[in-house]
Parts: sequence; structure tokens; C-alpha cells
Amino acid sequence: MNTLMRKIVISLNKLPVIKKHASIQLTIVNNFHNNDILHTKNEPNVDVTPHHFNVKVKVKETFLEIIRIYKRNDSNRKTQLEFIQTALKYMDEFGVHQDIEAYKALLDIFPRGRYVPENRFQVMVYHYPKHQDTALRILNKMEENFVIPDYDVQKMILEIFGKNTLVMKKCFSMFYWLPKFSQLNPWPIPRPTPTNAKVLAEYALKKISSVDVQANLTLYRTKDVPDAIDDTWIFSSMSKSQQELLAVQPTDKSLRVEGPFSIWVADYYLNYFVLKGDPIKREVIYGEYDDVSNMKIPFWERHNFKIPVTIHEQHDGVYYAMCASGTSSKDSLLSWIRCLQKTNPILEKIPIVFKLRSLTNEQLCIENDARKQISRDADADTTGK
Amino acid sequence: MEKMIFRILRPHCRNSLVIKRTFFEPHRSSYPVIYDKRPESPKNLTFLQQLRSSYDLLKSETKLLLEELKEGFYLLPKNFVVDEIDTVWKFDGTQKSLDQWIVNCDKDYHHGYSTATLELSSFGTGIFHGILDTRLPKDGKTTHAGYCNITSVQKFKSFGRRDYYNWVNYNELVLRIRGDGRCYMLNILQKGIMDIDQYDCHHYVMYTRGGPYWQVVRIPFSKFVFNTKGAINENQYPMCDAHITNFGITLADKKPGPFRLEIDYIGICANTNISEEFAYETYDVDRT
Repeated sequence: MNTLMRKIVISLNKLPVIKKHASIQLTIVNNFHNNDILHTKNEPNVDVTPHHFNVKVKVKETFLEIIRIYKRNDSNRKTQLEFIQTALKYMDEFGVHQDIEAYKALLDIFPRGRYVPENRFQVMVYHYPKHQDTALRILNKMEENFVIPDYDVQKMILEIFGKNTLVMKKCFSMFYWLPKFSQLNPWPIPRPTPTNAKVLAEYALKKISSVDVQANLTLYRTKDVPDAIDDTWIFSSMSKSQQELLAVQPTDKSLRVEGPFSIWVADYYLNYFVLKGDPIKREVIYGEYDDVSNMKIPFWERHNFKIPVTIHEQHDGVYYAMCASGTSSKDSLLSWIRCLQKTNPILEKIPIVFKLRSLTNEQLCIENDARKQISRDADADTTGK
Repeated sequence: MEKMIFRILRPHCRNSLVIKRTFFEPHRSSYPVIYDKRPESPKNLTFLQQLRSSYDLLKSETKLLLEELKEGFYLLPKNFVVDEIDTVWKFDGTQKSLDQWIVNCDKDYHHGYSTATLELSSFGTGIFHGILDTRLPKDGKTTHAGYCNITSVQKFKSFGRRDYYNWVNYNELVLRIRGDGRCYMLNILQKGIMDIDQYDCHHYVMYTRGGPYWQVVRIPFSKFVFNTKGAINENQYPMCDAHITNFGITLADKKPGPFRLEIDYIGICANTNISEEFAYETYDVDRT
């Protein structure tokens, strides 16, 4: 059905009337797209789920069970290539795309010793090409999801395809390259990635405050603050140098709480807020160089900067503290300032302004459910041109 | 002889799952060119305007030529200071610094839905931001989508002659950035004229800290991995420092969502602490 439709579209596109008018061509193609007649190869379409993978509970155990049942039913392995390719499609849905055991179970479907080339001519003509391609697809999928093959995978491939094959070569190149890049991240996050927002916020603030070794991460609870409406957690990061900077802050100038700014931690997108002040104006005083009556000897003199020079002084302002809260609401930020007042009594005197952007931005959310909507809008845009 | 025949007939050349090289490579000039702002075609101008514009071009190019000639007469070669950063690209709030870059994403070529822009901030730094989208277009053949990229424009000498960046004396790339916690990829392109080497490129990853603080990233040239068409080449070669055509930053980390990278400058440095030539083995894998 699909190929037929595609052929119809291609032949329609070749018609001279449609070729001339791009808008007609676009409307025909868009109509097909919107009715989901042409669907992508890799994305699973719910309506045409093959019976193997049409299960209710989509977890690792069911995935392995499906493979086990398939191996029992199809003992001749007549449809193994089709089965593996569909299984690769549905791996993301089952949540096993980062699990090496699932890949091992997929590779285990191939019979042992059947596809090993026996002489060099067989090596030359790419012995059992479809089978090798399918095995390569499994390895490519592993590479995409940063799964490093282990010794068992190598042993399995050696038994199935032999050593002088592309699959073995691919496996060796993965052995060489993937460990080189797997530990590069200077702010590592354990895998599987934690899904709890509180843990992620802790990682995020640790990541940001890694700029200062003295940074002090504290967890506040809004319960402890009087007249707080929300009941959440607040992670706050403030180092000793930031406290010293805040202590010499003039009380007539106001500080700002700005945000929400965004940071990525693993696959998640978090918001954080900063307590920020205007950039410090450091005056450079040039004395009268010709006057030598009152000469200073710099050896015994200590640098008496009123305000210490730190990394927190950036060109767009001075950052005094950072926080991430469970609700990101204005009330939680207010209680954050209350919590900070215990350690920094000067904050009680300094006026603080809240400059918050609205959190809802329609463009920010890309979800699978909204896929159709967005694609339709995009199509409307293209037709509009 | 027998060995050679077997080597040629090996299946490695024709499997697109392993090697993305094909026997026939369409030349890059045949790709669709996408402009942010179309260049003015001379047909719309009157004769006098054409004369005027060509005179302006001649004047500016001659100025460049004279400067190049002057450089040739210096007794001492142009010096560089060890352990000091030489900025190559800097965002200083002018339109000229912004014109040095080409922004493209997969939406431009109808391969996806990502969008990206490069703008100047109120402090004069460049902000590369947009939304990465990994949804696939429904054309039935695209299997991966989602990339945003900025690439510097080709360097030219006077009268439109091709020029290359010569980084022989340097061994380190320095960037001053402010990111959003994502992982970006740095590309140093050495596009050749032949179809075999037009995709030659060296890549390395850059992890950004995120947050409000500026970050200076230093990456030695020896760490860059030789790639062809985005896949790691099995035979590795160190970077050809004297023949660099472009530099680029790519975002393609398979995490759909907004991104934002603020760039102050991109420079190079001759670091005396680095003695490594190339970090990876350079033996020939295909040799049997």
C-alpha cells in the first residue's frame, strides 16, 4: 500500500501541469503526509504494530520474552532478519535502547557457525550480505546509543560470522573508539539517568558552581520559613567569596533576582535563578608621578582592595548566589532570600527586585503528541510561500 | 597481484553502513545554496550603477592587494608570541564580525525541523541559539534528523583568490564561551578541491558548563579526530595545519529542545606545555 502510494505521488509529480505549479504539488504531498499515509521507516506507527510487539507492558522483561518466544516458534529462522529490524525499531519504546543485554539477545537469534565464510572467495563476495547488514544495523544502533560492546558480543560475532567480516571489523572499531569518548564529560552523570527533579537540580547546581572550588551547596526547605505558601525544596549555591562580596555591598543599591535561565543536565532541561547585582565600578587612581615627596614602597604594602576580585564578577554583573527550586515560583524565591538572610544579615537591609520572565513559552515544548500539530503548521507555512 | 585484486574486490568499499564513501561523489558546488540575504544581481542595476559598484570593488580589492604586497617586503616574518592567544574570530558587536559566519540547520535543506540563528547580544558577543528538533520529515528515506551548525566563510585574498588559514606554529584551539550545559562539536574543515577530500574534517567535542560564568575551553589540535562525512575514518591522519579552510561549531546531541551558546572569541595559541603530535594511532587499517 505504502509503496503504491509513493509511486502514485512520484508519477503525479512528473505530470507537466503539476511540475509547473509548485503549490499544487505541495498540497498533494501535504495531504498525503497529514493523513499519515506515508510514514517514516524508523518511527513506530501505532496502527501497524506487528503482533510480536503488540503488548501492554513495555519493559525489558517483555522485550526479552518476545525474543525468546520468537526463537521457540521460528526454529528455522525464516523471518529472523525482518524480526530483528522491527525489534530495533521498537527498542526505544520498550526502554531497552541503552541496555546491552537486549542487544545481546538480538544477536543471539542468529544461528552459530552457519554464516562463517570458509574460503577467501566467500570473504570477497560478502558472504550472506543481508545477514551481515542486519548485524551491522544492530551495532550501529548500539553506537548511536553509546553502548560499548563487551567480550561476549565479540565472542558471539566470532561464532556467527567469523573473523574476516565487516561485522567483526565494526565491532573492533567500536572497541577502539567508544571508550575513548565515553569518559570525556567533565561533569559526569550516572547512567541510567536519574529522573528525580531534586537529584537533577543538585547535579545542575554542582555543574554551574564548579567554577568556584569554595562553592557551598545547601538544601533549604520552605517549611522552615514562616509565611511560605509552597512546600518545596530549594538548592542554593553560595561560596565564601560570594558572601564576602555581598558583605561590602552598599545598602542603597538594589539587587536583582533574575531568571529563569536554563541549563541542560543529561537529557533534561532545568531552570535556575540568580541573585545578581550591578557590575562593580573599580576606580583606577593615577597619582602624580612626578611628585616623589610621599613615595610608597610596595614591598610592605598589602593590597587593600575594598572589594575582593573574584570570578563572580562578570562583565554583565556580579553573581552573588544561585538557586533551583522545586516549583520555580515567585514564592519559593522569596523564601530562598529569607533562607539566605540567616547567613547574610546584610540582605535584610538591601532592597531586592524580582525580575522574572514568564515561564510559559509555547515554542519550548516539542512533544510526540504535538507532532502532528507542528507538522501541519509547518506544511501550512510552506504552502503559504 | 593476487593480493591486490582481493584488496580491491573486498566488500568494504560498497557497504554504506560502515563507510559512507561512494564511488561517485556529487560535487559540493551542485548542492542547493541557501542565502540568508540574496546577493544583488547586476541585471537590476542601471549601467552607471554597475560601473559604480565595479569601481568600488576594484578599489577595495586593490587596497587589499597593496597590503599583501607590503607584508611581503617586511624583513622579519610576522611574529607570534608563545603562550599567548591570537584571536582569529571575535564578536565585537559589529555586523562585519557576524558576516563571517554561515548558519545552517536541517530545516534549510528540508531534512528536519530544527531552527537556528546567530545574533549579537547587547554586550557585543555572538549568541548562537535556536531549537533542536529530532523529529523526522516524512519523506520515507531520512533516518536521522536534528542538527544546527555555524561555519566560518571561506577566506579570500585580494581579487577573490582562495586563501587558507595557516596554523602551523600553533598547537591549541582556545574558545571563550558561555554555554547551556550541552555538548557541542568543533569542526576544523580542510576541504580539498578533489571529490575525495572535499569532506575531510577534524572533529572534537566541547562540553559546556552552563550557567552565567564565562568559560575558556582549550583543546589541543592533536586531540582532533579525522572524520569523513561525519563518521570516524578508520585511518587517522594528523591535522594539516597549513591548509585550513573553515571552522565550525555543530550541535547534534539528539536532545530535542532549545539551546544557546554565547561566543566571545575563537583563537589559537602556541602552548609550550603540549608536545603531543597526534593522540591516536595512525597505522593503516586496510593493509593486509
